[in-house]
Amino acid sequence: MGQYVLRRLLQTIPILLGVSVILFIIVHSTPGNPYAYLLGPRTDPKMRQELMDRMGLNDPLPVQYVRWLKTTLSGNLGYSIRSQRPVTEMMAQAIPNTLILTGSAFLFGLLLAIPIGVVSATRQYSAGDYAVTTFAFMGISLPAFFSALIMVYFFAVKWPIFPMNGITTPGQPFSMWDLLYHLILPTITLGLRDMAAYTRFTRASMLEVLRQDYVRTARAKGLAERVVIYKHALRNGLIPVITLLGFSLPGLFGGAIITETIFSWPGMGLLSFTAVGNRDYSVLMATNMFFAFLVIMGNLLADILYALVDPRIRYS
Amino acid sequence: MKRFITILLATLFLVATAIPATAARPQVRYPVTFNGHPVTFDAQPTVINGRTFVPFRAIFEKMGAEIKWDSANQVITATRGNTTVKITIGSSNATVNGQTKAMDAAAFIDKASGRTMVPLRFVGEAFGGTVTYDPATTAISIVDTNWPKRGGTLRLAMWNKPEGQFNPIIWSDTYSSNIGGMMHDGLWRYDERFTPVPAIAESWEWDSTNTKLTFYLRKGVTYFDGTPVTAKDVVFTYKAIWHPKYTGPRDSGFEDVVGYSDYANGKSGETAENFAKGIVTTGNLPGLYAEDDYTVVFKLNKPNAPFLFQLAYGPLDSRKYANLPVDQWGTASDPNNAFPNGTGAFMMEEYVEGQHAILKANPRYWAGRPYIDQVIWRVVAAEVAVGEVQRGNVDFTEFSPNEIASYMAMNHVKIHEYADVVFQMMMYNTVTGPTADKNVRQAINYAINRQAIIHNLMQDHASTMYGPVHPLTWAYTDDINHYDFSPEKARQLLDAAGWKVGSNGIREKNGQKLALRLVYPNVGNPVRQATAPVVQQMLKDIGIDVQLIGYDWPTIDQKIFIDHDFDMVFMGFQLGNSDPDPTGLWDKASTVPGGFNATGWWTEKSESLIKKGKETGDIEERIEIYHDWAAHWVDESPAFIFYAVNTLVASNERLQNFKPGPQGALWNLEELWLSE
Repeated sequence: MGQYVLRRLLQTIPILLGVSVILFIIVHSTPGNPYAYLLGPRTDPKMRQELMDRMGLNDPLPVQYVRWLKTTLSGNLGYSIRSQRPVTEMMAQAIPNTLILTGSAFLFGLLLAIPIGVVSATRQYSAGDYAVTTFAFMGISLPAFFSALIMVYFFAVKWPIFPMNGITTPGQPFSMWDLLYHLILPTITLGLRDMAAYTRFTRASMLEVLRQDYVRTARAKGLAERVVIYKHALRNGLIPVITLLGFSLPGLFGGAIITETIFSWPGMGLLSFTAVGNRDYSVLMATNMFFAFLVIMGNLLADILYALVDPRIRYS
Repeated sequence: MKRFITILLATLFLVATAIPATAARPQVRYPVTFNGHPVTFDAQPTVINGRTFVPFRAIFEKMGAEIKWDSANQVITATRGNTTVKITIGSSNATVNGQTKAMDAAAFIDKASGRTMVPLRFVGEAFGGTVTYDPATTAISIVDTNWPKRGGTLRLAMWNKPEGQFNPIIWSDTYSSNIGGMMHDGLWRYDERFTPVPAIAESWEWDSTNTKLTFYLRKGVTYFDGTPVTAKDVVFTYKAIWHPKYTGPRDSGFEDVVGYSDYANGKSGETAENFAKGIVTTGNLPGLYAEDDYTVVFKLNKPNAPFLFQLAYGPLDSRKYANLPVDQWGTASDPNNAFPNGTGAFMMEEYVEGQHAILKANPRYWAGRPYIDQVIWRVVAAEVAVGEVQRGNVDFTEFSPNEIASYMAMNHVKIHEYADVVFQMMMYNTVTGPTADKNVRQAINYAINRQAIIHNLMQDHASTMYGPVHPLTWAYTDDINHYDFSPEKARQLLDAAGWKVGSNGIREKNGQKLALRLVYPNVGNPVRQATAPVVQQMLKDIGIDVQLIGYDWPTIDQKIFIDHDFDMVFMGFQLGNSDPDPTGLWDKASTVPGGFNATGWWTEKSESLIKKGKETGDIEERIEIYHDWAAHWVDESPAFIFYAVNTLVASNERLQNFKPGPQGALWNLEELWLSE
């Protein structure tokens, strides 16, 4: 197993290198440049060319790529062209915010999805099952901004229970309660979508497990239904769900752009999205390479977890 | 005798010319302030027998009174709250809530100005204020501690986070400038009539050749920490912009300043070391110097009437920035960025990146301490702004016409609508493609039904604007070709230009189809986006095939403004200031890649008129020139102007004295107050 992991880790390096080349080409080929904001009647057009020369943006692409590679490998992720702040600082601020939001949503979704999925599987074809399935389909199909705005309308405007944006209340010293208070609406918005997906997933997996012979054996042995389902079947049914954790890794860090925009939650989603609009090359390269790294690690994590949880799987 | 007189006159002449012509600082007589805030009168205060008289409207309005003028009986009635004051012209007895009170003199109508003048002391005290006179400065101050209500927090929304540069010569996005603008004042600012009025500069004047502009700074203006603002700081600020190491967006329009290019190219004005390191000093330059602590002079090579508008940026504290290289100003390594030693009405108290900024009132503000204690700017997504206003968490916000129903349904909200400096147009490519032919452009103009677009897409929340000169400037004229909707005229023009209707309804000429690409920005303005298919249909009616292409902003920057790769493009434009000078938008120098004149249009006539318009300071002359220029532009038609946009603002009814307009929403920030 150890050898397998080592091999996978070594494979990561050429993959990331390849991704970085493709990414670099795409990012720099999009029309426009980071100095578009300088356009205006009061700004000298020559200034933009001067700035681009100074930043090395008029050099041939391979030259720029090598320069980027050298700086990044030395640990310096560069400066945001638009706001002149170090990219590491921007990401260091954005990542915790995103993790708090997506982490809560993930937990919220999972904690609700598992019991609901299990119940739905055990009572397949019942009215409850149909209700859950329909609800799950709705949750997945509703666009994020729609559900976000619905949440805001009902729980922040019509019945002004919750705040509708921000992480904390301005002017007040930081408190966990304040943070949680602001966290609730965005978590539910994001979590409901996640929950819908996980419910389907759990349900499908449980259905498959419940057909297994050992479940029939357990029932034949006279065990209570509850014990059969929650002690024996669930454990095996949860195997695919546990690996969800690995695949969700990039999403956890990637943030949810729409939810972050509507709720003014300054996370990675908002950061990378704004960088696209600004053609902020340094931020774009840093955040996207970060996501690529997470995808690779996430896949690796999922594979490892699979091996750990399911004794039938062994790597060599 | 004759010889004596000749010699006397000669001597007097010699003596007179021998006295150096120093600019004489104009005296400001009898400045009046209410609670520290300067009162501007449209006619000068008069002093008769030691008593000061002022025009009644300005002073009563400043004190928050509602005014009624009974011309039949010559009675002014001013009401505020439970107090009613009545003044009769010619009588020195006034009534306050019915009780007679003697004024020290009678109100009268000034023959010269036609204004009704009332005794200042009585008026100041009528509503409970205290009037004090300072004989040294002739300043009169009225203080009312009970009105208006002091304190409170103004809560504002920004739809995106600010990029974070709050230095006035560096900031490049709207929200950084909104916040930074509260912390830094300029030499002048806009008043309610969108006209520059004194701020840190008490007054300014051009010399007779229109090449020397002198600013007299107000004495007593200080930075937040109490250090006085002096002329050196003004010199320092503009030198920073011209410094070869400066990387911000302000450095244009200064080419006419004497010695500018020597400094901007690093030849003279600083030591070689300072040029290389990016350090700015307060030393004088030939074209920009401090004549004394409170007098700053700009000298130009040739007359430039709109030059004042280049000088909007506030004096930075030269001490604080003395050792920081100019290319680091406004960045993370600038300690004065978010917490500057500024001159504005508010100072930064707390700044959380990406979330909010909290500012507190500056007790030393030159225009009087703000009534409001605190301002909070929060990032609020545009989609939920309605909800925040509904809940009372945001005190005012702009909105678009399609949201008007939601705002009108709120009881605690007031709606303001005003003609604004933004206008929407469709630029043509006048260099390549079928639109390079003037007749094609004119034909398209006739084919577009402006009225229908304003009515249906903007719900009439737009004003007509037929030419390139904006209705809000003093040079606007309606007396130009409107290109009133006429598809017939359009077809005639196209036929005459050789574009004949082909078999499938689309015109062709020499085997080429009349197919045009219409580019529009696909972000930021849903109404503009919705206009694209409408125009496509209108042009199809006259036989033009239009392909619609939506780009985001950086792509538009590249394809339209740099590559000029388009036939027609929707574009909005915002006037930088109230001067009608079209330099920067319609002149030849702006047709270069990256310049704003993506149409590529210029003519000898246009260039010479633009040049003439800058050379004279005489308003009447300039109006003539710009009328001619507008008529020429309208004939050439490098663009089709849709309309001037009306801005819609919703404000919470607790926000008082709020008068948004093209001059901005917070032009009188220090005089806004909250009733609860």
